[in-house]
Amino acid sequence: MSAFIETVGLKKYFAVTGGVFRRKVGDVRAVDDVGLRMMKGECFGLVGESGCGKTTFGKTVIRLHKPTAGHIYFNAPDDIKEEISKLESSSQNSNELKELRKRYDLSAFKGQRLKSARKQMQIVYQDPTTSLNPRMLIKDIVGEPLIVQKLLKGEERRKRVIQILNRVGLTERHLYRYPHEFSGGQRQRIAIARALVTNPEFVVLDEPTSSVDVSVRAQLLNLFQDLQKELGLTYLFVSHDLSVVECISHRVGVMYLGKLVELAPTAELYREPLHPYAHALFASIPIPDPTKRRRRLPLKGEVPSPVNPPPGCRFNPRCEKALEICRREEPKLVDVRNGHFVACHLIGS
Amino acid sequence: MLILGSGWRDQMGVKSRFQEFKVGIDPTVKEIKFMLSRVRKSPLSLIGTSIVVFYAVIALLAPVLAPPNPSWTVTQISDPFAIPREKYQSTPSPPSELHPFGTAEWNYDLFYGCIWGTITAFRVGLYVVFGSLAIGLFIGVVAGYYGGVIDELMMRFTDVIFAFPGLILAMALVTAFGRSLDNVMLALLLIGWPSYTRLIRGEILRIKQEDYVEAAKAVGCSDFRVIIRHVLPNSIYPIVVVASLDIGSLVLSAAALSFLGLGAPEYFADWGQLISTSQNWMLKGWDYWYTFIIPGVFIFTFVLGWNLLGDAFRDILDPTLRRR
Amino acid sequence: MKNLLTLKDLVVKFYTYEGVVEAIDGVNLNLRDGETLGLVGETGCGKSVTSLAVLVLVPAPGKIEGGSALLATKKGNLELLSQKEAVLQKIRGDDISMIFQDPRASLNPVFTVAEQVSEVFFLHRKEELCKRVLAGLENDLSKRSWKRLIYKLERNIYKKMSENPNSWRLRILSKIPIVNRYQLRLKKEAGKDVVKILGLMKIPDPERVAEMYPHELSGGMAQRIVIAMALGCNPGLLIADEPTTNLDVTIQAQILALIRELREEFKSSVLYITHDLGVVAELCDRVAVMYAGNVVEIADVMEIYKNPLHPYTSALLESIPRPGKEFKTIEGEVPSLISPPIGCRFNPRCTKATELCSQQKPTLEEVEKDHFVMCHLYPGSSK
Repeated sequence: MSAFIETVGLKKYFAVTGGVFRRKVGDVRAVDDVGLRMMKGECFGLVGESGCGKTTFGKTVIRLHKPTAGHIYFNAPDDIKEEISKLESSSQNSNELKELRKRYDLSAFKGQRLKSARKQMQIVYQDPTTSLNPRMLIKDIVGEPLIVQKLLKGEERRKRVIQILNRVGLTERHLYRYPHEFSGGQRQRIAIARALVTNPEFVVLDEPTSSVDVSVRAQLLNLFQDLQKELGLTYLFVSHDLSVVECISHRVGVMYLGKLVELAPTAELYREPLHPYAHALFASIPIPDPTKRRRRLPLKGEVPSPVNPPPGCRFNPRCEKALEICRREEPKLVDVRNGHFVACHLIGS
Repeated sequence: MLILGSGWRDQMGVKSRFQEFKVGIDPTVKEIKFMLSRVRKSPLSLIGTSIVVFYAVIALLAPVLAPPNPSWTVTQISDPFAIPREKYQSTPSPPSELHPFGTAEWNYDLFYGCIWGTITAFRVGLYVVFGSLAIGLFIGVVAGYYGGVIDELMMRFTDVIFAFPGLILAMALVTAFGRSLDNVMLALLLIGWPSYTRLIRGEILRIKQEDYVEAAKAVGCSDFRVIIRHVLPNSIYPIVVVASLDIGSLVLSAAALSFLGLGAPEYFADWGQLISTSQNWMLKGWDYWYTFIIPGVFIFTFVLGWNLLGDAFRDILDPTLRRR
Repeated sequence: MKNLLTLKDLVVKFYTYEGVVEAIDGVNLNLRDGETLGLVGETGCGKSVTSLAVLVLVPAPGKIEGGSALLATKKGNLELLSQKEAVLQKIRGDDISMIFQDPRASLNPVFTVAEQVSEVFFLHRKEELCKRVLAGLENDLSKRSWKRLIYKLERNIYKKMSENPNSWRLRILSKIPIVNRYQLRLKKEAGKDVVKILGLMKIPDPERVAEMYPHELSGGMAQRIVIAMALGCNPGLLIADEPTTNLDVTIQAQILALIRELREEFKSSVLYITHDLGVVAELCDRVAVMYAGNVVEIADVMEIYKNPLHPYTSALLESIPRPGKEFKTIEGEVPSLISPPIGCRFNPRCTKATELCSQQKPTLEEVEKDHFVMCHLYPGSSK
């Protein structure tokens, strides 16, 4: 089955400047060669700790950042993707390649084409307090995408805004209010309404439940699931909260220092994480059951800086089972069984 | 707050346009009410506001309080800002029935001068501030939002203007184009805009990184729309505070320049100019107190009023104190 | 077991523009000697305000309106809410310490780690430091050196300091530029203590870290520094206000392990505030659940997870996301504390609410052995 969204070799580096003339002295390798495929209608969870690049990846996929390298395919047919990779590997910078990319590769879109592509992909941010303009009324916040994309006017726009607010659990009364008059959970619903008002097919959820309470969290998660079923949405659910991701995602990917280290269907990944980092990560989750207290510390040390990642496998300084080859060569992401991918020299070679 | 008799419209399911309007501005009304309550709580803000309002009323009623071309004047006045005089007397005369504040050198009526000077003061303050704001905002917004080379170039240009001496510029303009208040205003404008540029650029650098700005871009907003709708409204408040404080200090600068003889010509109704004409009489003892004390009091209280108002704005609009 | 801290009928109100927020309305809590009590609740339930009230640090427009907070000291029970500020300043940092949620916000960006951690030693352990400096001075004086005169002067100063650390003469001396170099000895002694306590926090290479500035530290490291500051003077009670919420999961596991080790070593009691039920299960001995300004249930940690009695507690435990199952939510929202519901504050959202619940507020009663509940469903709570 053709993937709905596919990234190939996606890289996003941020330049680090230094010195008197602000020359580029290095790169923060936030996303370093990540390739994955998301199917239509699935919820793809992306987990990792702070600094691993998952948020940057989510934002790069919807072109909030311009990728440094790589391709992003949004509903492109397989043969086109093959064509592009063939042309690239033969390193001809031909016009044909440029044409194909301009039409199908999201990372090469510009101007009006990019703007109209934005209708189809939206994002919900982590903190609803800062993601809503404090000086705008709700009706303007939710209605703005329709204005900018020139979709609906006047009375129709108003009707659509009310419709989408009702869908997320708010009413017409809330149109003429400012964001600070709402609770955290309600603000997040407004943010969701804003994301859905143009009827997108793909929504990046950037830690949408981290800033809200436990009881509201469950309400929001139910809302996400209902909306996915009803509207046929595809989600990229970025989070560091592993228990939430376990409940809502179909497949989960684990990132570390800009690289994807493991990818598998949810149940399998949580049952048996193969990569040492994923294993330590899952072992660190506090379990809400006092009879199951853990005694051993799963992972020591701290995450190294993404400006100077360690050579070879990025996890090797903290890995208890590191081999000689881990210090020299970066492992590739391989399918070890039925859609369970791991990037580790201990497994898969 | 329903209007009497419109209840039946609600029952019929028809929303009147006016009611919609009322609902629409309801949150703004609430915000304004909150701001006013904070003003009421601080006595200094009340004093500042009342002073400014008082002077505004005087400025509006100037043609009534001091009608131009009174019967007793010897000079023909076409410009209402030209102060009338009763005779060609060089020494000032103390307050009397015809001249409530007395007369200045060459017998210019001080009362007329002070009243119409209020309008001049407002003109100077508001024109220069709004002009500086216009230039400063434009340059600051472009520099702050786009960053990079544009930012560097504009900021270095701003630094050059910062270093420019205002007094010398005013003298140069007067020498080239003659002595008038407009030249003083132009000079103050040309050296006044950099401070706004720096301020707005700082605020924009901060607001630019907020999530809602990025969210607006994710929706497809053009740069122009992002700036006008999202960035500017949230960064404008410190500017309002500085602008209101500036009006006072600009009036002082204009008065100082007029005092030095660079501003308004001798017959013009301007407080600084009035004090300038009283130079010869200041040291002659207390007999001629009215020539400089009265215009001085006007300047002093006007500037004080704007300063207090600026403080009041800052207290009201301070975002950390805003949310109760 | 003795109670270290007893809170009885604590009432805190915030006088805001919108109205009076009844943040805490009669909180009853006891913390026993040597135990770790978890204080669980959602945002706005008043757990942070409770901890601030214990230290009498409730910010304006908040006012502590009633109740009592008794701290057990060697000289008997001390009523914290009626003490003078000078007494409270001695208690804070020495007998009761607090660590906050955001470690970056708790550290002053313009001072090094050593300067900030040693501040707590300067405030509360000055006499000891002076004694050590004096011992060092005696040692220096016994050697023949041209600096003997300076040492003699320093000895006089330090003798005065050990008797009366806050005398005005010393304060003036400490402001004079070259003369105040005498303080270097004190700083060096404090520096030794700092390195020792950083080592106890399992910070690698403590001498180097002590000279760093907060912006050079990672989140986990910064939180360890904050914990070092809190435990520097070995307080009897440590209040931790969501210290791991902002940290990554693996760093959180490290900090939790650290807290577990430290409470063994320092033998302090911990009041751990959080909204994460997993952390509570990992770390705490007893758990107190708060809702809308009241403590609704207190029990042993095993008991509360196995047998939650209050409807809110059981709803909270059920709303923890479990894979494969539907997410259970709690209907409605946390009530506004400006006009809280009459009677039991949870009654609008409670599935088992009765007529009595919306009329009369229940009290916290011991319903089973060492299991306190505030609910009309259980006999003894409605009087």
